[in-house]
Amino acid sequence: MASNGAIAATLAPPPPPARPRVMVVGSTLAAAASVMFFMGLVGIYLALRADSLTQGESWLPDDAVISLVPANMLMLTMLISTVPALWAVQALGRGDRQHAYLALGVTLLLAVAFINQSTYLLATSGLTVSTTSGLLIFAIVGGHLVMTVVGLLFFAVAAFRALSGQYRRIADGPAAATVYWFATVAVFAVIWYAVYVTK
Amino acid sequence: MTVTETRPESLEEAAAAGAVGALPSGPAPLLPPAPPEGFAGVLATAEHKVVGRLYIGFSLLFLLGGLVLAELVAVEGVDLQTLNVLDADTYFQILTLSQVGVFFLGLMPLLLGVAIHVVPLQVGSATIAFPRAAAASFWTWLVGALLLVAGYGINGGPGGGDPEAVHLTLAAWGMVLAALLLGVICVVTTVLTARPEGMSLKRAPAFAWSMVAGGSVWLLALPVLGANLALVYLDDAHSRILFGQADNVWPQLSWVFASTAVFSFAVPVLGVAADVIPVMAGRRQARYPVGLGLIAAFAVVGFGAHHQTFFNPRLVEQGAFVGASFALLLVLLAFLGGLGDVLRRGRPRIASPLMLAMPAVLLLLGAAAAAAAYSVRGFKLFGTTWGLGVTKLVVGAIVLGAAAALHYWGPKVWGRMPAEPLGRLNALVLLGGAVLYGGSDLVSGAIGQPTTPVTGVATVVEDGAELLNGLGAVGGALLIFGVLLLIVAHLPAAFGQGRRAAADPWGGFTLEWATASPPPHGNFIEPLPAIGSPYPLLDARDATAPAIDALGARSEVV
Repeated sequence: MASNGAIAATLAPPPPPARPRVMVVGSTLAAAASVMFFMGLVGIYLALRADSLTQGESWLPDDAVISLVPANMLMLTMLISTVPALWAVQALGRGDRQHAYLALGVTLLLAVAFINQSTYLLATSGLTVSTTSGLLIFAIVGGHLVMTVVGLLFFAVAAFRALSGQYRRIADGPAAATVYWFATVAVFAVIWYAVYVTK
Repeated sequence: MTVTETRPESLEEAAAAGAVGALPSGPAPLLPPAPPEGFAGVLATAEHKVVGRLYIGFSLLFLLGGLVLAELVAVEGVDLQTLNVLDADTYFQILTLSQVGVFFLGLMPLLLGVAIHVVPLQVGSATIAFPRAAAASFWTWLVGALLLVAGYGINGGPGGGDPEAVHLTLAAWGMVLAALLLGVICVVTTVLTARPEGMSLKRAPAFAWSMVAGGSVWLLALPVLGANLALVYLDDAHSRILFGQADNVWPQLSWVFASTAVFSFAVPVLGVAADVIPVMAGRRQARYPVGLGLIAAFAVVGFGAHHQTFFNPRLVEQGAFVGASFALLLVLLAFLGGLGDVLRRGRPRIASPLMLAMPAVLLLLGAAAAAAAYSVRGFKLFGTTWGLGVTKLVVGAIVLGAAAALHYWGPKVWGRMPAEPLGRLNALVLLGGAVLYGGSDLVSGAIGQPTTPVTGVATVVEDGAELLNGLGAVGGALLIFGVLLLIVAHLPAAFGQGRRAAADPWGGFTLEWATASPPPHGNFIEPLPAIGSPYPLLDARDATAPAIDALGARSEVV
């Protein structure tokens, strides 16, 4: 009888299959929609730019200056910000609150720095909305700033809610926010090349 | 409380506390929100069934309004050389509002409302993913829709006379878009994350799958429309150098109503047909994953956001456009072949869902064939009314498909049976109306009638074009009558009148029929049957009573 009990004890049912995380899937869909918004803008930008150059006209106004060095710094800032974002998700998953707070703080700091750099670059570029190129660049860069602010707020809210124990799986919210943040970085990579590098 | 919150306690704990009934088989991660109580409860509800009903009700009203406006435009076409009813500015505003209203205030939210109600039931979920987001989607859409209509009312809309009103309508349209996409995210996430054990995506119900496919394309294509709206808004608010110039606004935005993008709105219609027709025929669909693949292919080909003639005037000369147009036709032919095979093997019941669903797919096939012809340069149809005819046939197909969905799932939605005789009559009314509505423009285009300018006055009038426009106006009137019939057929049921619906009045095959009509809070009380195929209820019936004839097994049916 004891051996039957031992056998029964070893025949426990398998654990239920892991489910896709609801917030991560939802965030991925929202990120995809956001990416397509910018692909539409960038597509129009590139199409009109190609038309303008084909007709022998200059695309940017003569007095406009879009420096590449600040733009490269923006790209590096975004790329670097992906590391503490992932670190925050990992730290939360391990229950390491101290490192989670640190990673969260670094991510938010880099995001704020990006917003600051980007607005300064736009303000000193000499572009205005009275030209087609200027309007498009303001729309693209301004729209991306909005996306960055949304991603920053999403990340902050998700991380603090995770730290206060609001999620069934602690890293769900920050993981979802990280997906959106990665999309923000990917969109900026396209903008960096199409607008700042190609000009 | 944010719209993204998931409650920390598990569903198991909630079941132990008696908050929900017995759990469905397999882990279910989504916890239903509290049931609404009273009018204030309805306003604040996050219950997906209530949100779905709200979407259905309001979108039917807006659809009716949009079709009435389109009818005004059609009536003006009876005399193409003068404007008899509207002046030139009003004509253009009515034209644009009718198209925006029909698609974004009528058809798309109607299909989304049915999906918000039905899809969680189809996948055996206790609720929809992000229920508060779904509720926020509806209220944002409603406010945006009212602002859009109000903006037009104060001389707004593309090319409107009041700049502030123009900005209001553009912003409101963007608000409507964002709200609809939020609702789509909720539906798609539900299908991807809340299916029970054993229900792989290959076994997902066709309508749920079609919402994933169509919803994914909407999530990719409609933000591009949002980008167009943003550019128009910014330019109109500042210098009007290009995008914001009055003559340029509508050409930048109207691509979504033209081939091939317009077909993306019809993807859920294929899902409705693929769910309805096997049940009405009493037979499983053979090669079910192929059918799902065809629905996905139709969605992919209907993407269309890159088919913007304002930025690409030589679109119709490009192979990609021609290829996409013919691909739509081939995919639909294959899909129709699968449905035809089901009907051939089964004993179809002549009930309103079948009478509405089958013509919807046939109309869509006709529209796809017309779109393929439109893309052939040799036919010289570009710039004629043929293109408008394609759009109108798609509108007719979606109206028929939505009506099929409402008559099929109506018992589940309202808990009462909709008027079946009105449904059968409506199939004839809507089909006749759609054929006249779209077919008249196809014939008109075939005889070379150019698209009517935005002023409403044509400089070239081919012989017979005005007569054809008159027939089109008759078709539009029939469509309006059909939508009225649809509302009348469902209104008593919506207010708790009429015959109570059984849990499974059609002998359905999928999980939504495994619960009461209407479903209780938490959707499912009894444990769900094991999922071993796309048709779990049919499997359960076959396992318990294999000797019963298919007709006999449906003794409870209408």
